[in-house]
Amino acid sequence: MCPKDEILSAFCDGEIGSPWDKRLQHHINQCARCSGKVAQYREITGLFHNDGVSIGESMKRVKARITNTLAVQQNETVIHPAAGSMHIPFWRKQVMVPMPVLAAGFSVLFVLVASLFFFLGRNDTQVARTTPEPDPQQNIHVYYSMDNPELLRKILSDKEYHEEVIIELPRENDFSIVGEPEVKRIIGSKGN
Amino acid sequence: MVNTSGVDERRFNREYKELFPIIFRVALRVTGDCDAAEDLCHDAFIKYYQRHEPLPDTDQAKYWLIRVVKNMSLNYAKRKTRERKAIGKLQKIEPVFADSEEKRVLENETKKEVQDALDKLPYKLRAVLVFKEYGGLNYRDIGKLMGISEGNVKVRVFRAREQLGKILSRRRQNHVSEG
Repeated sequence: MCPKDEILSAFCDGEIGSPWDKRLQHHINQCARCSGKVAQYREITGLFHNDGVSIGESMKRVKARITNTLAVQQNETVIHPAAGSMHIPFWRKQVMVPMPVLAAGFSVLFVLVASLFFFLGRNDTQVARTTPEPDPQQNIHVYYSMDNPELLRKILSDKEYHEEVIIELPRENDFSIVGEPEVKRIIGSKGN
Repeated sequence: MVNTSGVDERRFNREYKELFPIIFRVALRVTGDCDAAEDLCHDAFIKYYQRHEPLPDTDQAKYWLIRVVKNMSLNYAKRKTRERKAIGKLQKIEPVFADSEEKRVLENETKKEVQDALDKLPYKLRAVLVFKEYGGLNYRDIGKLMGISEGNVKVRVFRAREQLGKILSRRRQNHVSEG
């Protein structure tokens, strides 16, 4: 049984490994059809290698062009010695980064951004929750409501005032960690 | 010994002498145009000598240069296709050789016959055959170069040979009938 022509073509290229190449050679020696095919493929290969293309002139011409271009580039490098061995503007410089490193970098960036959005999106964050629950053991002297922010500001600004103060926060006690807190906005920037 | 261009002259001469014939033939057969082949060779060698670190041996340099020529020739082939479409020509343009160029590059009918037949092959078949015959690359290297499997290279080389064989035999029959 004759092998496929693809195999014969690969055989001509020396792409059939041992011991199959020897068996194939044995078959080709005995089969007129296969030996004809191999001869046809080898004739085509022969045409490539005996095409008579003369490259002498092209070789000289291209060599002169290459030498000239390299010399021009060398001069440019001398003119711009700070740029190192070859003057390349920084916006045209290329940095080789292996694909796995790039993928890992993007993954980390994605996780960070996703986490940030997740935490920003939550409005019941413990950090922002304030619950004014006075400790009954503590000695509370004054109790101020946010209803009168002017008075509150005056007391907080008074350096002589040493009483402990509890400030009742607004009923809306869920704050976002970003943005201006309600208390600070009411009492103004002087309050501390 | 370093010449004015900063490239080791001895290394340049040795590599150029050994590699130019291979690279030029590959470029010429893929593009079908002598001027384009010279341009591609020039650009490929310039890119090669712009590398900060030279490649350790000539085989690797050859593979590297063929890869560059392959990428550039693909762009060239695409550009030619666009140009052909733009001018509305349905038939394939014959390779452009000025009379003197043709005399210089094509010394006899055989090489014109090969080039004409190659020009009739689609790029993906023409390229693998040229890389095989002129580049001297094996199927694995051609596969890496073209981004295809070894099996695919085998099929393409086979199809290219089959089509080339048919084109050449048709041409010969025509010559006989004309004679």
